[in-house]
Amino acid sequence: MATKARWLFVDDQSDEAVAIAARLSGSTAAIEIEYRTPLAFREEVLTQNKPIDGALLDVNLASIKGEHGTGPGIAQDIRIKQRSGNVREFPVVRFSSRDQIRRNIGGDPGSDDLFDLKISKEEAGRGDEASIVQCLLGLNELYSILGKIKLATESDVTRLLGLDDAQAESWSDWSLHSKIRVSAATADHVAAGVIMRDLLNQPGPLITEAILSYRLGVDRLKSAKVWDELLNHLDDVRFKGPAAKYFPRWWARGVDDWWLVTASDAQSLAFTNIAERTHRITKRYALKGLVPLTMPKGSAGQRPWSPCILSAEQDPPIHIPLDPDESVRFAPIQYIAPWIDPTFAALAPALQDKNNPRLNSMDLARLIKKHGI
Amino acid sequence: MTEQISFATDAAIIDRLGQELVAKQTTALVELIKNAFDADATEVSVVFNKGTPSSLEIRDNGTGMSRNQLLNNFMRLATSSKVDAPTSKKFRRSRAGRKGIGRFATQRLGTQLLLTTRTTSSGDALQLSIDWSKFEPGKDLDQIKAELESVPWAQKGSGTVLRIVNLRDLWTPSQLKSCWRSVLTLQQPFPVAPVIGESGKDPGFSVKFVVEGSSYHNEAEVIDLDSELFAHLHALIEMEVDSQGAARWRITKNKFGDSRPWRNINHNQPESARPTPYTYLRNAYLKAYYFILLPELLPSLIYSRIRGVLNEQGGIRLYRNGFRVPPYGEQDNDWLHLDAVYAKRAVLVPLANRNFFGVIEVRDVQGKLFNEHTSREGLIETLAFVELKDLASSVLITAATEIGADREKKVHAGRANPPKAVSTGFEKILENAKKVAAAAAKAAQDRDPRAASLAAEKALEVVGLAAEEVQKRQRDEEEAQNRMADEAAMLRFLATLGMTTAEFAHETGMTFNAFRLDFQTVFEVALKHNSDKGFATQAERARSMLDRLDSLTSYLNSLAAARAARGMRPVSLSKVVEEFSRGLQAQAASQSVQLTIETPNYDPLYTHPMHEAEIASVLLNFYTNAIKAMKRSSNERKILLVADAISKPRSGVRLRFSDSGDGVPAANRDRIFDAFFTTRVATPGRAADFEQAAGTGLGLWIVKQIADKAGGSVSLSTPPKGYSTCFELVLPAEDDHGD
Repeated sequence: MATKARWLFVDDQSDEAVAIAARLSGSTAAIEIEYRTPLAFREEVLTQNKPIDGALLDVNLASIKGEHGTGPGIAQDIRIKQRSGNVREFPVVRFSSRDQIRRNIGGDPGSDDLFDLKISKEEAGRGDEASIVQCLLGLNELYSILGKIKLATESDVTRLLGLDDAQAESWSDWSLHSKIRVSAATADHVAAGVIMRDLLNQPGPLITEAILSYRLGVDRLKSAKVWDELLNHLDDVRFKGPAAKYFPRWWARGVDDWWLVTASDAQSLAFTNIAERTHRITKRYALKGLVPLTMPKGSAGQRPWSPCILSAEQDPPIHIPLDPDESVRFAPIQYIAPWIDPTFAALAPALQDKNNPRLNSMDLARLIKKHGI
Repeated sequence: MTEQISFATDAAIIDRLGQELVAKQTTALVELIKNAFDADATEVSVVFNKGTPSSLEIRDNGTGMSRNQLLNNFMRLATSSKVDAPTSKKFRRSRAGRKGIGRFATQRLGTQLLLTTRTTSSGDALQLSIDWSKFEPGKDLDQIKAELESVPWAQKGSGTVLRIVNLRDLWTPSQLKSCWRSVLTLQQPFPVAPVIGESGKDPGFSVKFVVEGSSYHNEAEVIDLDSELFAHLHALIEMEVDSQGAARWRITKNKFGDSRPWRNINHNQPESARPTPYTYLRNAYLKAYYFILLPELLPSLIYSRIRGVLNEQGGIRLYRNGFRVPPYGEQDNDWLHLDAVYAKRAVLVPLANRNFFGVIEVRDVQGKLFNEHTSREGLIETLAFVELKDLASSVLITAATEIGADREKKVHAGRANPPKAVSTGFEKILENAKKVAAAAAKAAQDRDPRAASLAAEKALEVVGLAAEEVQKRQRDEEEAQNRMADEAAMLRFLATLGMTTAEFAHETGMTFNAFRLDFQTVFEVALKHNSDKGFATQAERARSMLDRLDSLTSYLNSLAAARAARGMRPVSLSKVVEEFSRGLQAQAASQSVQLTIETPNYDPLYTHPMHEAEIASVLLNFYTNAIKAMKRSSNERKILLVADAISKPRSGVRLRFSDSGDGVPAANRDRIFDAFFTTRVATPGRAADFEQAAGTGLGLWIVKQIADKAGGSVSLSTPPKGYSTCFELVLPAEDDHGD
């Protein structure tokens, strides 16, 4: 991007918002985030349609005298005006504290579709500024691409996602492609929302680097440089679609295919344990220093595949790999598309929160019996 | 051209130093009596004459004044004669006066002064006559003359008579009474500091009032302290600060438990077993008789008398070089903040001024540490005086708290099962009422007058018994209500504190976040322009402190979130312990403490339904105690939390919290869970509420309350190897029905 992306941050705590905006802006030369009161934002963007590259919206804006609106309320206004063409297309991100989310939204998915992305302010305070800015810039690139291309056919979507037809057939999902195409015909922000929420931001056809490391049975932090070397061998299955630079992802089924080539006579990746996974990989690519993942205390099994969503939802989040066979199904708050992976909770956190209605009671009973707890 | 000029003194200075400076007539009179003491008098008479003109005479048998002393000392303002000679010639008394203006108290009392004085070496007496009304504004002081002449001396030996005429006050009975009381308390009621020097030579000093020719004596004001008050004390609290500033205190004659031997103290180092001496404070002594004003703890015949005396005269008086310094310890003067602390219910043991009859004596002959205000009301707030107030307040609160712990234990030990007692009381009343009804019915039905009379007598007897039972029940009820009120007050206080903390944690959460971001930027920019290693270390340290603060705030926030779920439910002990470890790990590391936890791999260790925040509160209590204990020892600092399940004697979950601190002394093991038991020195009364709440000896008591209420237990158990203390908390496990 030739010029700096200009984002506006709407919050009711000006000092805090300005500090956060300054920090995020300072992490790269590619973005400038400015604070606005809700009133000023409405005037500048919704009334005057001045160009901006994105909006960060806090949920609760009640600290400002006379302000009765909310972040989701402003988001709704933006989306309606974008749909009617009265306001330019730009990404909208929910940016609030976990506590405010818990108090004002917790469990209600009603406003989810309004936002391309949801980031907690706490992440900004824990040294994740660079990754947050990467996400914002990624959204800018996604919107930019969607604004330039036409997605008339399923094949157009396949090309957009950086796949050929064969790869699309094996690794992606036609229902997803269809949804992207249809939403793009409605508005750019609707298509962007589908790509973000139903593809990039949830494990399914695409997985993150952390989940990739779980599936390969590798402790990526302890493996350091060897891990980067291993990633090079996985380049063919790396996501190369819109904003790929900002959202590093790998095609999950592509990784499965890669594994079958890597360990020619082995079972599929999901059925092998950590020791076998790392042994085969090390042997195939002659990698020295690849450290096998150690399943954390309380996460049963030896075939890690997914993250523990229950732990990830804690404040601060705890990232735990889990083996689905030894874990408890954990119902998502909102509807998830069929191509998205089911969500689980590791056994110990699930047992410690056994009355959580999102936990599958049959899985719990089965595992309690199995482990004699 | 340089000119030599000097101050001139307007005659109005006399009014400033007399009437305007000395607020109360009592203070003025006491000042003149002190002058007699300084002159080595052994007897002083204060003679009131309310005739016309009204007059007042202060007669003493002191050394008197020579002509030279009269001219150079008495007639010279602000003379330093007493500073230059801080002790009297004959009895070596530490002189009370220092400022050289005490004589103007006579101007406060009346418009004319007739001073007659004689030394042993002179024949006639000298008589000085001053008409204070001549000292009018606008005139130079030295232009107004007093008259001096020789007159015959009617008394034997030496002495001084001050005759003040045209009194400015009416000297009503209540003023007389107040003045009499001040004179009675002018000197210490009992010795406090150890007797030193040649004080044995001093035959003492007595003052008598004569009103309209008769000796004034107010029976109500005179109490025999030994027989009427001190014989019934509940404890004696003493404190000493030596000439090097080292302070110590003790409790003796404790009616509720063991005496406490001398213990060193510095209220600024509440946790320290070897506190350093005070920086400014020297030679101060406290002796306080402690009383708990409850009818059941004092003889019934004199309960009202003691309560009356202490309501009027209770408190801690201050004596400087043997003389009382008003207003400290006067009614409604709360200089040690005892009433304030008690009123706030920050400490729930009796420690208002009315619970003490005490004296603080400070020795400062040179007047370097403690100096009275020129108005003779109070001491100047020197650093030594500030230290004295805080130390004394701290000692009294600590002592009352320890006595409270002893008493609480006794109350618990002697208390039967309260619900049963209540039930028995009602049953008896009901039973007696039935008997009364039956006896009355019998009396009504009986045709034989004698039999009817007997039945009526029987009915009356039963009514009497029933009335007694009702009275007893009423007393029990009142006592129970008092206990409940104390507990409710404490719970209100703690709840407020808890809510404030939760609100604080919530409100500051995002501010910390934002602050961290700004700080990070400042840090990076500063590092770019400053390559100094020291600066980098400092910045890194600040960042790590911020991290610590952040993790603590997050933990408090999560507790506050748990508070939102008000209902009780089974709580996973494993989860609480793991969250505690995550929240406190950084804080522990900052204290060089290695915090280790051991929880089962999968067993969540569910308790019987309770509040999640209660277990967190138990852990925080154990933790803060452990940190203090480790700071007191030089052992390697480590804490171990082990959570597991037990099946015997019944199904339960257990937490063992061990630390490597200085351990719990054998003598304290039975008492640490009692309310108000603490080894920590209390904060002074003027401290803020949250400081008062710390170290009140309620922490482990609360832990015990939580354990008891949940049907579990808490105790000291054998620590694992390498640890010195182990608290074991056992809670009933959740049963099959989720209860």
